[in-house]
Amino acid sequence: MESPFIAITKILSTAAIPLIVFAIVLVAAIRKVKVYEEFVEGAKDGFTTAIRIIPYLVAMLVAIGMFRASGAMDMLSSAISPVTNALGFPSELMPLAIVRNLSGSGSLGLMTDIMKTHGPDSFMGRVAGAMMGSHETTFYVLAVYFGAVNIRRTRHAALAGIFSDVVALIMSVILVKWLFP
Amino acid sequence: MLNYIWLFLIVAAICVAVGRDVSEETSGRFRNNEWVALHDAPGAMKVAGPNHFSGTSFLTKSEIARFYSADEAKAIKGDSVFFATDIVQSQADPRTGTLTLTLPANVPPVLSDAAAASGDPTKIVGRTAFDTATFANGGNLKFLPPTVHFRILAKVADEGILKIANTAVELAIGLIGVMALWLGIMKIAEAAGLVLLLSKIVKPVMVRVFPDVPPDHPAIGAMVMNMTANFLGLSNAATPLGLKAMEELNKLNPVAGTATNAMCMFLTINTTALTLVPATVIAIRLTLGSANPTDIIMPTFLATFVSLIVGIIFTRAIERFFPVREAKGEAV
Repeated sequence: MESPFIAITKILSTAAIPLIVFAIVLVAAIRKVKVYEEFVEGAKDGFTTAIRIIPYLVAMLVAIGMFRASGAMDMLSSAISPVTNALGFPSELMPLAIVRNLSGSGSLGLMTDIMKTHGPDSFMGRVAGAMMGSHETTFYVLAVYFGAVNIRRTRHAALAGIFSDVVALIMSVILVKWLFP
Repeated sequence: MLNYIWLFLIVAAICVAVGRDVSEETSGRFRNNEWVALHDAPGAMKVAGPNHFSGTSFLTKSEIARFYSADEAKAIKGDSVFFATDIVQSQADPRTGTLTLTLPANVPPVLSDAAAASGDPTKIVGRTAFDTATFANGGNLKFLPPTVHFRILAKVADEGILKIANTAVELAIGLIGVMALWLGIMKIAEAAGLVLLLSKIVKPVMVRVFPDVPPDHPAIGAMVMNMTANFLGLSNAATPLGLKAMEELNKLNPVAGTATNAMCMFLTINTTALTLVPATVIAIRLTLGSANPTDIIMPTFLATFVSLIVGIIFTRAIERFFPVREAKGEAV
């Protein structure tokens, strides 16, 4: 059984794209915009934008790939888990906390593992879910978004991204404790 | 900042890989060039064809502990580990041949690591020496596994570098279609004045979060569309719209190649990923038999919301400590 809220959001997310496209084209046509010409004019930048991000994506993903393949990521998470443990953050969740910044598919696998081991309705499973849902692969977003406009000096973007991510992590633990006592 | 993170990832990866490899070499973890004595029970090996035998062989737990180490033997449940075994007899010397071991689930990690290093994680192929006459009565098979050297570095080179470099290009190529579609739609929306309209609606909030961006600039419209797409979970549309927004923001950038405050703020908002419904998490919870898969929505939404607000304040607070500087030797 699905709650009506979920059913509505499901329909919304399926129908949203066609509806948005339809609405924009319709309004434009009413306002006498040459829709086909404008579309093609805009769309021709699609190729160059996608190609422009390749060097940034290669640089970022290769560094992350090496970091994971060497086992350095596992060592990092086991190295800092005593510290986070002392602060009340479960050490089993540490690998997920690190991976979710680096790799989308990797963190999905880890979250599924945690939910399988501890059960999806356990404290651990819920925190893992909340951590995963409140995440975006920060370094991927940095590479792609800045890559598209050839930004190499990213200033405080990485620090700000990591900081808000840590806030989301801590809040996930606190909120699950609070909402599911 | 990103320079240091990038450097750290690569240096750490190489140091860890070399460190682990050197420690495996010096401790002789894989017992390279040493023969293992596999046992076969009476009648366990059968003739499967000309010069071809197949059946089962095994090693006991205490033998593995003695030959490799006690740690490696921990994975074994029961007294012994059994392998499906395949022997192809050598034509030149009938007492030798090639032996293939298919690894079971409870295999010692040293064997699965050796198998993974040689290409197929489920099988080990090596040389063997035996006496065909004893097969029927059971006995020993001498087995020489392939040598394993610097396997972590090899793994880093293969999985970490070569495959990933291709993945990156595939990801970018895969973006071309949706990019073209959404950039086209955005162009129509701009020409119809819809982007401007949208910017006007959100003006009160956006002037506070993005003080450097003129409130009627097309960047505002593109950013709002990107945030809406993210909020609804339409990640296909969100990335192209986000890149469009970055391009618009870059038109306001006085120093090419350096991020502006507005760009960093936009990135912060994007990485906090405020989403109405975390669809993937709910789907996985459902398949794992959760009693109420959607009860994760509330903590997720609140966690993201708090991190969004705190993130915006933090980004604003630190931007002055990262001043825009001209890079040396570059034209303005």
